[in-house]
Amino acid sequence: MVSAPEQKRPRPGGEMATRPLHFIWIADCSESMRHYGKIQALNTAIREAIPHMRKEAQENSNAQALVRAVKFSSGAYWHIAQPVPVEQFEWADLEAGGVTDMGQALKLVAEQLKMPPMPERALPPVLVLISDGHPTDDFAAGLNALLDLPWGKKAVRIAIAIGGDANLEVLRRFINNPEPPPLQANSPEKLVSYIRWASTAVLKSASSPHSEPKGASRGGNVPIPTPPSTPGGPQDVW
Amino acid sequence: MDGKSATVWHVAGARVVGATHKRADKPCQDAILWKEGESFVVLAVADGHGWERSPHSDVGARLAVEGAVQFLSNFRTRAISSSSLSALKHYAEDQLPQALVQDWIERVKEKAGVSKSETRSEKEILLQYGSTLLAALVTPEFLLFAQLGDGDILTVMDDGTVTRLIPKDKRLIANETTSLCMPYAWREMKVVFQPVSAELPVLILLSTDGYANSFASEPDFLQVGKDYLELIRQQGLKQVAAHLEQWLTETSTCGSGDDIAVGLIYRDTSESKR
Repeated sequence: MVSAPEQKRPRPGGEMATRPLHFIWIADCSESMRHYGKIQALNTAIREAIPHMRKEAQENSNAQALVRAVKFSSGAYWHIAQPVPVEQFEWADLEAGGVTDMGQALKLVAEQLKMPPMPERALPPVLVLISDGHPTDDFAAGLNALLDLPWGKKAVRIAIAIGGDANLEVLRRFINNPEPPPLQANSPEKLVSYIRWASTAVLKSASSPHSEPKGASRGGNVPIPTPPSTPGGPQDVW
Repeated sequence: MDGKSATVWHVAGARVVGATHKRADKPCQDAILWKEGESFVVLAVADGHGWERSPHSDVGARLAVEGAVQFLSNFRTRAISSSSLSALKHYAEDQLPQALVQDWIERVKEKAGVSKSETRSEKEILLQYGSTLLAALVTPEFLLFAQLGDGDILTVMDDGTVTRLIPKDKRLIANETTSLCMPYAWREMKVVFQPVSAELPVLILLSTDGYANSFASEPDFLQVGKDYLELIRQQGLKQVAAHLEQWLTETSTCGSGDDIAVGLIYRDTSESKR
């Protein structure tokens, strides 16, 4: 006698969902980014990183990576306002011109890290700040707005300095942790390397569902992988 | 208290390795253990932290559930000889947290082989075994629940109403949790002591946070309480228990990717009427 195949029983509970992981580029588009091909290099670096970012996201399928971007120069604006699943994410080129209103950019990000719209069940968001200069507005007000929020404190904050004129102290204050220090990109190649690292290794680390005891972190609450080693050399142009 | 009652409680549960841990070839960091005594049931689940500074958290979680089941079974024995529910409540709320945490600390120290010449700090050793703990003791006279860290304790009433017994700790986001390994951890343990009243829950569910994190919203998660109750009523607890691993694996795969442990305590009203 052949027994009838067992019917699959309904799974208890409502709709299931992977955990959202918000990834936000915060890009300096001030006038100085027009010089020495910096803005073109940044556009190229992010565009080239997208396929690697998608691959990493595929391998961490329980995290739904959602990407968007803020640009700042004279004022700050959402360059890509809606969180886009990384599988559908396309980079639209940035253009440079104006001053460096970094504080306003951080305020824009802070608005989006409030609960709501951020859900409690999200994974720690990843914020990547890229700048070649000095803030021209009230940077401290923007930073405080961000770090006063639970998700602002818990965000993985990465900073990339483009060229030797970038204000490293400001970037350190943004990171607000001993590790990782601001990454110094003095050439298009280094910028590509750091952007790819942030898009892949950092994304992977933030995707992990581990937990950790309250207050036990030495720095951030996501272990940051070691950034690529990029010693200075003749290719340094910025 | 004579410990005799017609109410019959049964327990079932399961734990599964999360989809993320499967991909990384890591062990399950969640643990579950229960005991059905003559006139009580006790159930515990625990979630080892699984981060780099807690490499033995799978063991820490196992020690947590072993300790809690033994400790609460002994507490039940003590309760039988006690004449006062208010004294038990007082003890449960004031002293039990510290006793449960201390029991776990002793177990970890024994497991870690801590000697008098130990050079590692106790704090660092405990962190290596860090875990949460959720436990329930159900007796004919009272229900006792304890929770330290993230995770959920749900009660389901006869009409399907689902309640989260211990409110979510709003401080805990982004994978951060209170833990057995924290200094003064007992201060973070929430205890609920409920003398048995006319309205008992028909189902109690304990789960690690990988379960709730797998659902799109709070109502989607709370739906599990009503669904389990309906399934148990239709098919019996044994049938539900037989499918639990499959459901939890599916839930982790489509949801958080985290390990999941779920325990169910069901009040069997058909037996109690005999």
